Amino acid sequence: MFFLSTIRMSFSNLRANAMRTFLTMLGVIIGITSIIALLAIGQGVTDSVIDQLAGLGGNRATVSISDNTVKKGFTEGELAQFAALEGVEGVAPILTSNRVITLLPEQTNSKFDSAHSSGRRVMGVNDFYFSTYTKNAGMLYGRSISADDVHFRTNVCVLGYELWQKLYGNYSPIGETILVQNTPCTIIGVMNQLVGIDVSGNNAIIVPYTTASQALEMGLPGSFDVVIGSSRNSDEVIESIKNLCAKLLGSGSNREMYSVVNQEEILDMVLTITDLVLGMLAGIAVIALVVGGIGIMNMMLVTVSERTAEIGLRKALGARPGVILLQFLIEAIIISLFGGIIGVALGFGASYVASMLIGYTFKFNPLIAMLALLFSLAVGAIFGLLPARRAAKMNPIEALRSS
Amino acid sequence: MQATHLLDLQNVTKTYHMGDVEFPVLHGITFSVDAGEFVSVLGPSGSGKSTLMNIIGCLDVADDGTYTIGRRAVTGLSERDMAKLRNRDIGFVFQSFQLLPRISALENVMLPLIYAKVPRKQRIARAMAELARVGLADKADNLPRQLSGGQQQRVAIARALVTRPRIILADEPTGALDRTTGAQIMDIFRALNEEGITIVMITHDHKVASYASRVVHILDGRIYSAEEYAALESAEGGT
Repeated sequence: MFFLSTIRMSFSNLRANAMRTFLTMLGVIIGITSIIALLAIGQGVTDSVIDQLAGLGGNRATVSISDNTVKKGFTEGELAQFAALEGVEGVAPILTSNRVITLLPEQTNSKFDSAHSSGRRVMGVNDFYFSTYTKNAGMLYGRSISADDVHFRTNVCVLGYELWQKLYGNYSPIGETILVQNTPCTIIGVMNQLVGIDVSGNNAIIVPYTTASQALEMGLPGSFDVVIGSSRNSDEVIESIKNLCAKLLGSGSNREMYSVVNQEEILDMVLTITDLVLGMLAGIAVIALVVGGIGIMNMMLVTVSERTAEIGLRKALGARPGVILLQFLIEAIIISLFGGIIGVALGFGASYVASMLIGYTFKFNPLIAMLALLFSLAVGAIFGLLPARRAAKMNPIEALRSS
Repeated sequence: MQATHLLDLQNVTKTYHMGDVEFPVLHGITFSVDAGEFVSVLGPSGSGKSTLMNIIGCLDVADDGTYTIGRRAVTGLSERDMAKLRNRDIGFVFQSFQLLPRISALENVMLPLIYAKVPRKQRIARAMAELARVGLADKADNLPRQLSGGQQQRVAIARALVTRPRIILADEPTGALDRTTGAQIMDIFRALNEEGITIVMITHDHKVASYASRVVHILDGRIYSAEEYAALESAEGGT
C-alpha cells in the first residue's frame, strides 16, 4: 500500500519531466534493443544452420585427396571399401561439371528448339545421394538412380526440378532421351524441388557417377562425403576412414596427401566464430546499456538536487531515510524497466523482421526476455543507488532552507 | 510533584562548528510548554530561534541538555525514530508554506499520512476533514499555484493537523503574507488553540506574537520570560 503510493508519486514526477525521462530512457532502450536483437538473430541463425546440417542425417565427413599426383581419385571398388567400414552408413561421391546437352529432334513437345543445345550442370552421384542429400525430397516423376545404374554405368539421367521446368515446362519427360555431350541418356525421373542448404541439384542433370566418370569423361571422384551413423562414436569411425585412406594411397603416403574433415568440427568452428562475433557485439551492447545507466544516474542526480526542498519537506513530515531512498530508487528503476520493456519489444521486433529477410525461423525466447528485464532492472537499481542515497542522507534543515 | 510538561527543554545547548571556529547558538535553554498552551517564541534574527525551532521540531539534536516530548526523551534517538516522532507528534507550518507544487491540495494534506502508513481511503477522509476545518473543502483538487497565499498556508495548516500531532510548530507563519491575510491565519491558530490544540510559534513580529496566550523572548541564545525581558530592556534603557 505504501509501495503503491510511492510508485504513483514516482510516475507523476517522471511525467512532469516527460522529455527528460524519455531521453534518459532512450539509452536503456537502445542497449536492451541491441542485446535482444543480437541474441535473437544469432540464436535463430545458429539454430537454422544446425537444423539444416542435422537434417542431412547423421554426421558427415568429407574425404578428399589433397595431392592428386599420388592418386587421381577413388574407384567404385575403393568407395565400396569405405562404405563397408563399421559405423559408415554410406558414401556419396559427387562429380560436378558443365556439359553441352542437346534435346533430340523428335521431341516436339519440348519447349526447347530441337536444334538448340546449351551448357548445363551435370552431376554424377550414386543412389545414396538421393536418400541423404535431397532430404528425401522424393521424385516428382519416375524413379531415382539405383545402385544397379551406378554399377552397370547405365546411360540414364534424372532432372532437377528447375531444370525440368526450363526444358519441359510441366509435362513428364520420362522415357525421352537427352544428348549429354555425345552420350544419349534416357530420362528416368524428375526430382521434387530441393530446399535447405544444398540445392545445387535443382538445376542439374543427374547421372550415375560411374557413367559421368567414363562416358562423360569427368574423371574419378577425388573427394566424397561419408555419412556416419548417429549412434556411432564419430571419432573412431573417422580414425578408421583415415587408416583406409592411408592404405589406399600407398605406403609412401602421409597425412598431408589427404584430408578427412568431420562436419562436426566444421559446425563447431562455425559456431565458435558466430559465438565470438555475437559475444563482441553483445559486449558493445552491454557498454551501451552501461552508458544508459550513467544517463539514469546523471538524470537522478539532477532530479535530487532540483528537489532538495521537497526532500527536506518530506523528511520534516516524517519520511524516514529509507523511504526517501526507496522513492528515488523506484524512479530510477521505473525509467530503466520501462526502457527494458520497450527494448525487449523492439529487439524481438527487429529479430522478426530479420527472420523474414534472412529466412530463419523466428522464435520468441521468454528466458532472454526475462533476463533482459532483470538486467535493465539491475541497471536502474545500481545506477539509481548513488543519487537515492544522496537524497536519503540529506539534512532536512539545510534542504528546507534551500527553497 | 508537578504535572509533566508536554514539551520540556532543560539546559539545552547547541554550538555550530565551522572549521576550527565555534559559534555557540543556544546557551542552556530551559523552557517548557504545557498541553493546550499557545506560546510565541519572539526574537530577532540571529537570536537562535531557528535553531531552537529545529530542536523542538526534532529536525536537529541538542549538544547537551535534555529534551522530552510527553515523557519521551528526544536526545539520543536514531534518525529513523526522529522521523517517526516528527510524523506523529509535530505538525509543521512554515513561512513559505512548503507545499509540493505538482500535487493537489488534498494530496498535499494526505502526505504525512502516507508516512504514517494510513490506508488510502482513511487518508482521503482525514485529509478532507482537515481541509474542511480550514475552510478549503471546495479547493481540494486545486494545485497550490491555483490558490492564494493565504489559502496555501491554510492547506499547510490542514497538513500539520492531519496526523493529530501533540504540537503545531509554526515558523513565521505570516511572514510571506500581507497583514490582512496574516491576521486571518492568526485567527485560525487562535481558534485551533481554543479547541485545545497546543501551538508553538516562532516569530520576530511582536504583533503576531501577541496572538499567543504566552510570549517568551529569545535573545543571544537565552530564553527570557516576558517579565525578565521587560526588566532587561528597562535596565538597558537605564544605562
